[in-house]
Amino acid sequence: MPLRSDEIGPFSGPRSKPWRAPTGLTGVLDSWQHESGVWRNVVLHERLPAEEAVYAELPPGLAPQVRAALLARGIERVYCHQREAFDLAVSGHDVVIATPTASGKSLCYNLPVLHALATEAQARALYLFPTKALSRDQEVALRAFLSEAGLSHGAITYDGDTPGDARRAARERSGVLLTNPDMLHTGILPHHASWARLFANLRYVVIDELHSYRGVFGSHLANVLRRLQRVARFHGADPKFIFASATIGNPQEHGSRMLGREVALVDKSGAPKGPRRIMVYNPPMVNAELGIRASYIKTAVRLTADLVGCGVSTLVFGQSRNNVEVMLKYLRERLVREKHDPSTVHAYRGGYLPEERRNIERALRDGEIKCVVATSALELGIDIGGLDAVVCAGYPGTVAGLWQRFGRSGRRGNESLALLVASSAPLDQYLATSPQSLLGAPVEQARIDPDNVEILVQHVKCAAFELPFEADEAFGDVPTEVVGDTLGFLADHRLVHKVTGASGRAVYHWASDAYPANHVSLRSIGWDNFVIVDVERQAVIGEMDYRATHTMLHEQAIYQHDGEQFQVEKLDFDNHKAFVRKVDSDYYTDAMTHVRVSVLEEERTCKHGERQQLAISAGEVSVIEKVVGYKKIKFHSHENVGYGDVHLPEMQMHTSSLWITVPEAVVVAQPVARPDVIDALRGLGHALHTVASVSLMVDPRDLGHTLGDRKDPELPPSKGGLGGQVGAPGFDPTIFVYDRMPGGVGLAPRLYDEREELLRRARRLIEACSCEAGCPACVGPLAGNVPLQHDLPSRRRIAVAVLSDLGVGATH
Amino acid sequence: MTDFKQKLARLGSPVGRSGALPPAPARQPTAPAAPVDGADSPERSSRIEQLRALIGEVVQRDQKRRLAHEEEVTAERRPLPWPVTDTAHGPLYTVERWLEPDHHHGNAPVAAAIAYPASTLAALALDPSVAELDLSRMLFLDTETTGLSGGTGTVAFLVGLARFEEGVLRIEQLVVPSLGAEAPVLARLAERLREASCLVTYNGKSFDWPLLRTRFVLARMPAPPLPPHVDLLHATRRLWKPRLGGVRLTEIEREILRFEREGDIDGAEIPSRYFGFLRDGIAERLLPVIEHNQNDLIALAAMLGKLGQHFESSGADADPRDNLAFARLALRASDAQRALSFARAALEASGQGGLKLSALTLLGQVHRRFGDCRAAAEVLEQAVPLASSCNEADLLHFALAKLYEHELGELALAYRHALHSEAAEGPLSHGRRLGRLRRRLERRALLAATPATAASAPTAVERASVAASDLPP
Repeated sequence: MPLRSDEIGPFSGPRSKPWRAPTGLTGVLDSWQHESGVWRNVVLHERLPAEEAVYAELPPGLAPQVRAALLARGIERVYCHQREAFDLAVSGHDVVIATPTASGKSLCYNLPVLHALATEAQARALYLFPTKALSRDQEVALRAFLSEAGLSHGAITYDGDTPGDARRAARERSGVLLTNPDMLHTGILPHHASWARLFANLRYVVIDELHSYRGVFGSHLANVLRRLQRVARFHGADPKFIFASATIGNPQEHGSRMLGREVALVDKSGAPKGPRRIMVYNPPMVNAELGIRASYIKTAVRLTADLVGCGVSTLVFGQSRNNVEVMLKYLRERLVREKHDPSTVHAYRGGYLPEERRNIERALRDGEIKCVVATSALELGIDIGGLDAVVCAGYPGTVAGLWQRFGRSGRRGNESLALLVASSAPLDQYLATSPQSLLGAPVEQARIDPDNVEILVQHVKCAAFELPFEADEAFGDVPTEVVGDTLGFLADHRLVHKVTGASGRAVYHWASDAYPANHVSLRSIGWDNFVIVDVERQAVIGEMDYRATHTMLHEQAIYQHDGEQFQVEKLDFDNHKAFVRKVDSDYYTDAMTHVRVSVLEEERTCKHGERQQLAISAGEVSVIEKVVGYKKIKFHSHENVGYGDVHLPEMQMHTSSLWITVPEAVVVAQPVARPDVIDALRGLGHALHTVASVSLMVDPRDLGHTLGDRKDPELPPSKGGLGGQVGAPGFDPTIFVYDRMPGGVGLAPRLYDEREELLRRARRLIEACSCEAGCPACVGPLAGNVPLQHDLPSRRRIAVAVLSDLGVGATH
Repeated sequence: MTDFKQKLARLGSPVGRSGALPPAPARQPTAPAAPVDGADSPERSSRIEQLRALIGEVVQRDQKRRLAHEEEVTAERRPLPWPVTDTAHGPLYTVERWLEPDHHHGNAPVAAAIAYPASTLAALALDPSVAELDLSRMLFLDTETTGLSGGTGTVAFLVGLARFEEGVLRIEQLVVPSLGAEAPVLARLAERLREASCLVTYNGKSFDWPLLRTRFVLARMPAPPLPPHVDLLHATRRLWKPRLGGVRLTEIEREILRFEREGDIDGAEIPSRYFGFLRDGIAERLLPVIEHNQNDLIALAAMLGKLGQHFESSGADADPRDNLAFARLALRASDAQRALSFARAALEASGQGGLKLSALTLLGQVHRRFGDCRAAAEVLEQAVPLASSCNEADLLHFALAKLYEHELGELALAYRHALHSEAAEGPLSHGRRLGRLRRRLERRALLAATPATAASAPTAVERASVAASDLPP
């Protein structure tokens, strides 16, 4: 990767080390403890003991070719969890493997698959990965393993990028097919007759990164798996499922719900772990009056520079792509100042081209690169082995996410460090004040609801397209009675046609010229990428997904790539291209987004509370997300040095929503300033969002919430669809909780049905919270992510007071 | 958002119902996963209840539609009006029709389809495997389907077949009387395919046959081996697209066969016709579809006859664009005689514009391909002044440079043309060509010249350069 000349300049010739320079992790910790002022800001320092490896013999029944391939790799024994997974899989169990990051999960599923291929020439396996990049990685690894075992079964990735010839080969010959759920859903299952060889001989279905399939996406996948099993059964196969999951609270339950039957759990890892130190660092206050702390980004850079300077291989996680690039820039500059080689630091994030990413991974494994600054891309199973230290700049938002990142630390035998640098965001500060809660905290559970009616009906449609339904047929674990009702519903809509079959039983056939899978998207976010073209070099330097394009690649944005700044000169929206030119800029840009909800159709409404003051409604809304402008942020000082406008098409979504309108009179009647009441209502929206995602069994990201109000004159009237006359009830503050999927998946109507319980639960959540003024667990962060301040009125108390005034109790 | 999903989303909000749903154990976040295999556990029945309630809600609000629907299904089913045969796989409904040998579709006799040798069909299809076949056992196939998207949910509900029996075109249309009753149709199709020497379709390679193969898989019947398959879409694209622009079957029918369909059903309407028939059993709904399918089959035979006739002719009186296309095809099929006569016929009627340039260029290619390099060079030289763009001229110069250098040994002429071929040839190979020609010219000049005049040898090159400057740019 090219370095700027001024970065190479000071680094010429071998560096002469001062005699007292500390080396290694112990050296760094020593200097932090005794010399610099680091230690007094460390709010948590825990040592986790080393874990010994627990080995097991290679399975005695393992096919000789596979055994030979393992031995040739120097693997004479496997970890106990790998053996356990193998034994369970070959004895016909469905398995979920939930062991920590980097514990050798891929071998857990590759071993039984290779064994099956070696013992049965016709056997096939299907691998599902959530992203294209992951399947490409596994394809390479699997092919190597296959050829070492002398197996001629191919392994082919089948996705939108697969060329025609390879598609044919994939159908006809490939022993292992690697794909993603979306392709299985739209491209493979509806054409299963062309894949007859795959389905007839399907022995294993491997689903990696199970934890990433939750909420609506996970509920869709569970239904895709119901269809997959149905199609496999038609072709005479009964494949076993092997799931691999990162740490979540309920891997076995999640796997069972996903598959619709019991799965065996393997969660005792036999992989060794060196001793680890877990630390939380809270940057010191620099302005106690305003509650402003030192920049966590700069702090993380400083601590990382200490580590890298002492030869400690380090992985730094940033919260966003922008953060990653800013940290990379600072880190390189700092290393140059300290006379270290800046080229040993690299960034790694989603927008980099696959080849570039592969090179970074390899260099990291080989030790050519000492430090990588990454977004969460690395969470998704990319194989780089363990590192000496992990630095998280900012809390990733979930305990599971934090431990997945921390799990990257720990080379065998040596002590390693996992360090969280708290930002001034409320959630981080909440953790910094009670850091012990991190250690004992329950890990988040993955929730899905495969029986969500809207989702279920969509997939019954797809399934009917794939194969006719017999009248008494179940659909996975969906009972026959329910399937029958659904088919009756579809028959009324003339999508399926009921025929009395030869045996006298009713059969439902697909009877429409539509291709149903094309109308069902498993994810809310589009897949299409924008490419980033450097106009000077006439070369593609990166890519970016559709959503991020709005905030990162608008015209005039500073796009940062590997520590260099480029300005976007032109964004060709229709052709999905952004043209950038290298600039030497002392600022970067941060896009500002507005979310606006307007009511399209109010379908149901009612008055609630003792005095009937609270109006609760449900119906269809349009949610418009628009990037309205950007801020110029100066490097290092992080001052705001200017604004610019952005003209991009809005991202509009037509979906269903629940909304709760608080009458202006109640707001005015509160004994505090109006803006504080509005903030409290925003917090109530947060609490509603939290309890709603729990009671609907969805991922919090499947819902959105916002507060519409006239306080901010920049916002258009939030209920403009209802006439919009000034002073009308439509201008009372309104909390919207909506389905964050285009078209909606019926979450908001269910919330409306349970509205009273929902409000009661929200009140209980806010009341029972142990915090003082409001925390992420109850009313959420303040709008605009302003630092936690202690002199603000308690949003928690105001929210409770408003609820009381509205007659919403905690129990009735 | 006009699709079913939206309707359902709207239906998903109960009207006239008040109160929340009964709290269900499965919805409690802390509840363990509902057991899924217990046959009659309380959890299971409560889950059934819950799901039924949700679906029932949706269904209730659909009452109107349901009533209308029930009226339809209670309508008395009349017996189907088509002849039925009992087969091992169940009753088979067929619509049959015979066309006498002198039947014309528009201006085209259908019997012409088998009036010429198989080698002609092989050339038209660019498929040598057809050359030895018995064309009298040719099978025409065209299907009507419940959709165009393909996949396992699309059914070929009408399989139209046509074959010649002693000069009579026998059309046999197999009707699927209800969904799931495809077996007798597929069995008859398999039988006909086994008897056939080759299969003729329009877009059958990418649509009809993959769809039918899928139907065999779904009916759990072995798909019959496919005889050589001639997809006329490919032939018409090569031969008539240059003139007509499009090659939809109805366009060919109108422009080439001069046949205008009357009251032809819109293709997009066909699936709903069949679904309507499925619901109410009124077979008349399918009549336009059956007629449409018959016309497609007849047009297929007539079109094949037209293609064969033209290929067998010398191209006289035909449009020069068609002749050019036929010449190209004959060239690809290595039919020297025809390629030459079509190219000449095209040239004669080509006027002075770009068509003449194309005709000359093609004629040059034909000569070159069949060994007459002198003639090739002559026509290409004629073509050069007609080139309307540098690009076209460069390509001609390049072709001429190669001809003169490698085939005719006229190095000076080769050099002259090579001076203009850089854009077509690429700088690297062009540089090598010029250098090589210059060396060879010099060597030849040295050999030819007496020692006294040897010093002026480069003049050969100079002469060539001077001559080259006379050429049009």
